[in-house]
Amino acid sequence: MPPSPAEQAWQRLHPRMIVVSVSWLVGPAVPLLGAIFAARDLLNAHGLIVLGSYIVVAGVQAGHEWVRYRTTRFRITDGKVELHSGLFFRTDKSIPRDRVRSADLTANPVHRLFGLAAVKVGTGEHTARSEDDELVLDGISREQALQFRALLLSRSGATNPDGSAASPALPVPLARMRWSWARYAPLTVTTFAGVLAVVTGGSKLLDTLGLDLADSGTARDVWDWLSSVPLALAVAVVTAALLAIGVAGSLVTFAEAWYGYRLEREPEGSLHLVRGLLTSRSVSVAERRICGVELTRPLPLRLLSAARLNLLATGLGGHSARFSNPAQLMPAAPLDSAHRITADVLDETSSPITQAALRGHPRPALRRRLVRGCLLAPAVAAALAGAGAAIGPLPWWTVAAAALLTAACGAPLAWDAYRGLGHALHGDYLVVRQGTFVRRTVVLRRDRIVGWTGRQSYPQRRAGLCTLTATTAAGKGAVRIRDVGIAEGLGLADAALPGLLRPFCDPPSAEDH
Amino acid sequence: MPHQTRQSPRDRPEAVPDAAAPRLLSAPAPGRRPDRRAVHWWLTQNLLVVVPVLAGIAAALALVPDTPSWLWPAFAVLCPLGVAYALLTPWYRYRVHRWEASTEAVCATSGRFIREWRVVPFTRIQTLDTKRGPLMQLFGLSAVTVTTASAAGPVTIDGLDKDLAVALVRDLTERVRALHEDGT
Repeated sequence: MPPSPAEQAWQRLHPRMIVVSVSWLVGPAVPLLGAIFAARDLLNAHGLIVLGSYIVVAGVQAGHEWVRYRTTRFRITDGKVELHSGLFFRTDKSIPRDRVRSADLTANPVHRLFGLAAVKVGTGEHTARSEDDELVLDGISREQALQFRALLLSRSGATNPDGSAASPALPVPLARMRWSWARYAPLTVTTFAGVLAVVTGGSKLLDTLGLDLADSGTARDVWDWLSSVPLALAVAVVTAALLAIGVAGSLVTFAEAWYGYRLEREPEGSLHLVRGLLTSRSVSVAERRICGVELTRPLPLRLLSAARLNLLATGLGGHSARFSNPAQLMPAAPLDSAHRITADVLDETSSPITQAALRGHPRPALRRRLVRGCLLAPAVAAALAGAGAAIGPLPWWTVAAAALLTAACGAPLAWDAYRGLGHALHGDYLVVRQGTFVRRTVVLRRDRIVGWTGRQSYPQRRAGLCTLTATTAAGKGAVRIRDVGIAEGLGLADAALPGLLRPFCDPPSAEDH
Repeated sequence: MPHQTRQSPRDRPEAVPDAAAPRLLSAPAPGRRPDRRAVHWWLTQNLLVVVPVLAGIAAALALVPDTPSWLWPAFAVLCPLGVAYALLTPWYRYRVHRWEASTEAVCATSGRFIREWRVVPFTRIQTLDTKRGPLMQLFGLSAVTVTTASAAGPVTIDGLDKDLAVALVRDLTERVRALHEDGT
């Protein structure tokens, strides 16, 4: 790789970045000014204070961004990537280049408007202070960002530079966007969370501005109409309206997140994922970072035999607000698509999930789930209803009703949760399935297990069960096998990493203390 | 120390995973205990919390004229509970906390009501730290933390003799370096 002298020199962020950073203040300004203009006869001291503090915040933000621009420098040397920033609190970060495991590009609409992008350089290390292990260049020009990423990731390819760079092989496409997948988009919890967010956010804004909804003519008319029609109709209308907002919102979110979705394998083996309409996201994962996949199936998707797929890879799954869930490999899609992508991502002929014969867990695991579903959950429900009755609004019979209803739902759910439990070793993979509201099946490469942990609570000890955890560098760092029989679990752990546990399990002399 | 350098069965010619299990395994039970002085350390630690709290309540009962009526029974319950906790848990911890390094992995167990064991192979170790708080220094103790690439928590061996801890870290570091892998 020819290290161009330009890459050795210290570089700055792009000056347009100042404008981009301040631009988020435009967002609140529009509804703020709009609301103040629309209701200027209602404007009071409260509203003026909000307006004044907005202007102060804008000034401070602009100043802060100017300082950030002036003090931030970065460069790539042969050995490492360096970033210096800060005025009063200087931070000098450097990451050795052979530790760089990812260089992800993102550009939100404002970034794109100004031709900029942000690059996050990750090492794939997970520590408690994981933000120390990544380096974010927020605001360099798009060409510079692409160049930067190519330079960082070409490291592995650069070891055989004899002419191979002159003939770039084409990436192999693994998956593309299908608009028919949009039908699964409304079936997520986020739909209802979105409705809630819109409603509470709207009321909060009105409240902050000191505007009372009851003073507005339109709102009063709607309220009057709702109170004049029969109660059932009013409830139906409100529900339908909220549902429509939710569905529309989820479809918009889906389109924004997954427009132009493309998953491909690049010639040197790394996975490359591009998606996003307004905010374009681009994630590259080197092949050696891939540890496995996680198939998640929330209850509604399970009923429609659909699933979502997440990638388990070192360096993904950190909580970086800048890159919303980079591990998502595809949107909610039919199960066979998920299996096909799983096989492609793991470079197998068929998905280990479909191939593996999962072993169920022992009977006491069912008992534990029944206890939770039919005793604990009804007890909590009864306690809540009891509190409601004690305060006033609920009649006392709701306590019994709540308990019975919860128990009636709890029993099949417990049975389903028990049926869902399963684990297996299939070839090079550990396959673990669990969960009922969200059923997750994890496929983890055996050689990516970095240790085993076992936990036994007192009830588990009584039941002869334990929770076995395969720790890994990917995702949240652990794959749990809940409520597995002790002997069976240890056998599995031993078979997955032969010889690791045995020295500690054998000793007959350990009993005598 | 009979368990210190056990041979690993990995030396056997390529064991087929399932067929190689001659009998069911029991939960890992590493052989080495923390240092005796760890009991005193845990005891001191407990007393430093329990005694001031109880003394505070007692002082409030003795000095403040109109204490709420529930404070006496609360004190009567808390007093034996706190003292029992402070005196008994160090011994219990000493019983359950074990550790051991085999030829290819480190293992530690802990936990009072929730038992836990953790095993990390040397090839996956990323950092090895010793930690010594002021109280630990007083008792000549040290804790060793073995970190892997996983976010799910390190293996911690508490209450080791400080020289033993230093030697252990040095020994493990040597072995990890000899294996020379990047730990993911």
